[in-house]
Amino acid sequence: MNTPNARTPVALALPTLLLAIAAGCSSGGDDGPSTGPTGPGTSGDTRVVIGQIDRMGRPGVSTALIRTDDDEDAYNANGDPNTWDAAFRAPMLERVRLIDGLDEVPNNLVTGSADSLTTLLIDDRLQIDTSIAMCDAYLALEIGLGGCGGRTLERDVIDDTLRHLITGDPEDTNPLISDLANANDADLPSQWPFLAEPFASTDN
Amino acid sequence: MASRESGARHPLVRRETRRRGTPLGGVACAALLASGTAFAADHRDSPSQLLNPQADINDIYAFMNPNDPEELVLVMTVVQNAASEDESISTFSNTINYDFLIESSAGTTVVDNLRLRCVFPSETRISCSLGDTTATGTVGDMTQTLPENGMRVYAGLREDPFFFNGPGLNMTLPEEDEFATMSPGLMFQAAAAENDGEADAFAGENTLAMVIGIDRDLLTANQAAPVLKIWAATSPR
Repeated sequence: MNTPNARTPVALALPTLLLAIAAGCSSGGDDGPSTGPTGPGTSGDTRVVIGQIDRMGRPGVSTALIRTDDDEDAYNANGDPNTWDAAFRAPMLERVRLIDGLDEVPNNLVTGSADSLTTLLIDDRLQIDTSIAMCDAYLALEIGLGGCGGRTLERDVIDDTLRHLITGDPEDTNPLISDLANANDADLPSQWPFLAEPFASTDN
Repeated sequence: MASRESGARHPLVRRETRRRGTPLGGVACAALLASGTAFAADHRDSPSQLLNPQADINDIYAFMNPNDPEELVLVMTVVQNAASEDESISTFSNTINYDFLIESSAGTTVVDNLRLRCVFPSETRISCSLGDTTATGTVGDMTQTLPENGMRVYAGLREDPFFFNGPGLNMTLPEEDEFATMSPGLMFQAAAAENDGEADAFAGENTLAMVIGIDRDLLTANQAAPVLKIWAATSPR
C-alpha cells in the first residue's frame, strides 16, 4: 500500500514480498477478514496465530525481559500461549532476577519472588474485568489493586513495572524508581477515538 | 493539543534504530539489526520487526470507555514515529492481519477464545470482524458511534501516547549485563540530561492507530464471563 521509497534498502523489500506471497496462498478475500478452517492449529483456530510476525500483551516485556535478538524474534513469532512458559521461562527469569537486584535487595518483587513474577509476566496478556467501569491501575487484577485492570492510555506503566520489579511496592514513591517520563506529551481527548491528533511536523 | 518544537530529536534512541535512507549492504545491515532494537513498550522490539514496520506492534491498550461502561475500547498502534523523516511509512498494510486474541473466563474457568481481526482492503478502508460481527470504516474518520451491532472502529495517524525514558533504561541495563553502579534513578536523570532535559524519548512522535469500541457483551457471553485476557498479533494476510 505504500509507495516504495527510492532509498529503501533491498532488505526492507523482502518481507513485503514474502507477505505478498503468503497473501496469495491464503484463502482471504479482498474485502474483509477471513476465518478459514476452525480446527486446532488451523488458520481459523482462535487460540493461536499462524505465521505470526509480532505479538504484544504487556508493555516492555519482550524488550526488557527477553535479552537476545534470537530470543526476541522467537518470542514475537510464537503464536501459541500454551507454549510460552516452556519456551521463555529461563531467559525471562534470569532477567527478572537481574532487574530485581538493581536496589541490591534480592527477592523484593511485587509477587514475592522472581519465580512467581515470571509466571505472571510470561502469560503476556492484559487482563481486564469488563464488569468494572473504573480503570486505572496496571496489573490490577493480577496483583489485587482494584479496578478493571487492562491498560489505560494515561497510566505510567513503566514506573509501575520498575516498582514491581525493583522494590516490589506498587505504591512506592521513591523518585529513584522512576524513569522520569511521567505523562504523555499531548493531551488525550476524553472522547472517541481517545488518542490525540498527530503532530503536524514530520521533520524529527 | 501540544505542538512539537522544530528539530527536536532523541539521539540516544534514534541513533540505534534509524534505518530509512541509509543504504546498507548485507553485512552492515545485519550488524545494524543485531544492535538495532531498543527498550520500548514493544516498538522495534526484535530484528524481524525492524524489517517490517507495518507489522511491528508498538503498543496495545484495553480499557472501559469512561463515558460508557458497557463499551470495551481496544487500541493497537504500529509503526514507530510514523510519517516522519525517520520513518516515512504513513499507511497500514493490506497484506497483514491485525488481530486481538481474547480469552474470556468466569472465575478460573475459560469460557471462550475469540479473535477480533482487522484488515485493510485498501489504503483508505479498515474492516474488523469478530465472528459474525463486522465494523468497517474509512481511515481517518472519527465520527463513528457505537452501532446496533455493537462494534465501531477508527484507524489513522495519531500522536503516540506511549511515554518512556528508553535511553535511561539502556544506560541502566547495558547489553553486557554489566549493570551500572549508579542507581537506576540517576541513570534516568543522566539520559534525560543528555536529551536536553527531555525524559520521554517518544515525545513528538506519531504512530498508526487502530481503535475498536465493542459492546462488552459480545466478548463476555453477556457478562457471564466478564474477565478477559487480551493480546495482539500480526500475521500475513
